[in-house]
Amino acid sequence: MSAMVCQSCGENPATFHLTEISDEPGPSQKTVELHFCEECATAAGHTAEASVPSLMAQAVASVAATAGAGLIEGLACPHCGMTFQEFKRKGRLGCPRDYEAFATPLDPMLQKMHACTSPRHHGRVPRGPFKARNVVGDRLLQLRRELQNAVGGERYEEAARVRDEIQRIEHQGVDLGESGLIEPGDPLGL
Amino acid sequence: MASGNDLGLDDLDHRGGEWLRGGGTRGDIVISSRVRLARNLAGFPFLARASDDQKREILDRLKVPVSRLALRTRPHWIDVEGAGETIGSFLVERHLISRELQHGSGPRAVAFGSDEAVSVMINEEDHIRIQSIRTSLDIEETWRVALAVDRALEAEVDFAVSTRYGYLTACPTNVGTGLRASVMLHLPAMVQMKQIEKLFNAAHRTGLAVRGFYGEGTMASGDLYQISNQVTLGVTEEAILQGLQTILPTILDYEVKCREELVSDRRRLQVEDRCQRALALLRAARLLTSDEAMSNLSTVRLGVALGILPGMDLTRVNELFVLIQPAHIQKMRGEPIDPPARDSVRAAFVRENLA
Repeated sequence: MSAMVCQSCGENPATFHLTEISDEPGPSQKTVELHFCEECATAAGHTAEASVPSLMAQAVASVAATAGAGLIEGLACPHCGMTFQEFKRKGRLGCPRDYEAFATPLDPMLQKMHACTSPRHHGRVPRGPFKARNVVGDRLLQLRRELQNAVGGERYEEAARVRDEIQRIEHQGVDLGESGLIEPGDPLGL
Repeated sequence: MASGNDLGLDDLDHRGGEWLRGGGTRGDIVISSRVRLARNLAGFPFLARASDDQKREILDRLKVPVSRLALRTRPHWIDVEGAGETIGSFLVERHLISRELQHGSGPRAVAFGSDEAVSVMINEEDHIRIQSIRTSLDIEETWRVALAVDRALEAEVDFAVSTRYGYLTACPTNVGTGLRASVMLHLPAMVQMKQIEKLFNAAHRTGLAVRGFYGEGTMASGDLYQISNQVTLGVTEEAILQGLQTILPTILDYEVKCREELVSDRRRLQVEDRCQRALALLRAARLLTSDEAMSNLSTVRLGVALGILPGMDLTRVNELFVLIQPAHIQKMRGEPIDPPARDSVRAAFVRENLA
């Protein structure tokens, strides 16, 4: 083992020995041995960061092949501006509302990833009236985006106004108006 | 609350977290049980779309409620941004934070009790990652603790949830329950008997994932393997935990059978020789890479479990799996040292601990 040379630079002695488990889950999943010197191991980024989870990648590929491509590629979330294309590239969503904005292509992906016939949650949920809370959440999401845009565009008066509105909502909540029908005690909003 | 970059961490250099203590149910094979919950705040974008100002706001908002949590023991709060490479790696090596949090960008932090049984990462892949970890096989209690932390936080902040999709997460692989349950297994006999593919087969049949000691994409060093659920949506938390518990007896049984084979008359002398040599090497070496240390510690641990090395302390061997990692050695020394010098410090530390 000590005489082993780094398989990347071929010069320094290999001090970093990896037994990597291949990403593809399944009966063919196996271990691969890799030998690097410390510098090359660091340079090769032997860390868990930045890779799109393999399950995700598989689901993305399968859906991309079947879906009405053009229409779906152009989908964008009205709350955060994330496009479906960008999501496919990064493997991460932009905001909680993306699940609904991208439902058409995302639902089949969720079905595949989670091996379920319909992507519907069966686990626990927070206590309390979260439908009403989501109305507040959506409004805050929208205002925070406006704030970011105003700051980015150096429109400071507008930014100050939006910031005040965010604070007001955080302290007082949203005036639900007619949707005041959303009552506590109906936590599932059913 | 201890805060700042180094403050309050010095006492952790020479001992492992409670989850390494061992001695519980199936502690001969199961190192630890872990549950993590992914949560996000309503009203904020996920981190891929959040500005540094927003990340700071999320952190500030969570600092008080998270600090107030019943972490049971003296709480630590570490601002990972600006904590430096060594402290970041040190926390990763202790399984208190993920590599993703260490190498992330912008304001991010971790809070944990000094027994390290609960840790809460803020601004990792999701706004909040709750981790509960306990020694040996104890999935129910591990879950109960994670749930208690979740309930406590839920009383103070609004989580992003939908009726249809459950807890909303940045990556769709975690949506729904946001629950990942796992056990860390020491499977040296299956490795030696070249039966480890049975682990992969068993896991695959039941939709579980297999990872190494340090999670996704890392080495399976020290014959340590983590198995965890992959499905988080469309099932209840109880069903997820049950799924993991259902497959475990099969895997534990494989390892037990392989261990029995190793101590059979035909092989007994060989395995005794291997265990004694590993211990002798660790007690004598002047230079020790982490890889060599892990591999020999694994053999020593097997020797302890098989009764071949009486008088050796299993807890100490478990702890050494973590304490011999590079950032721990570096931190113990108190200054950056290059790999060859590190190997010398590591060898001295191991000699001292296994004397």
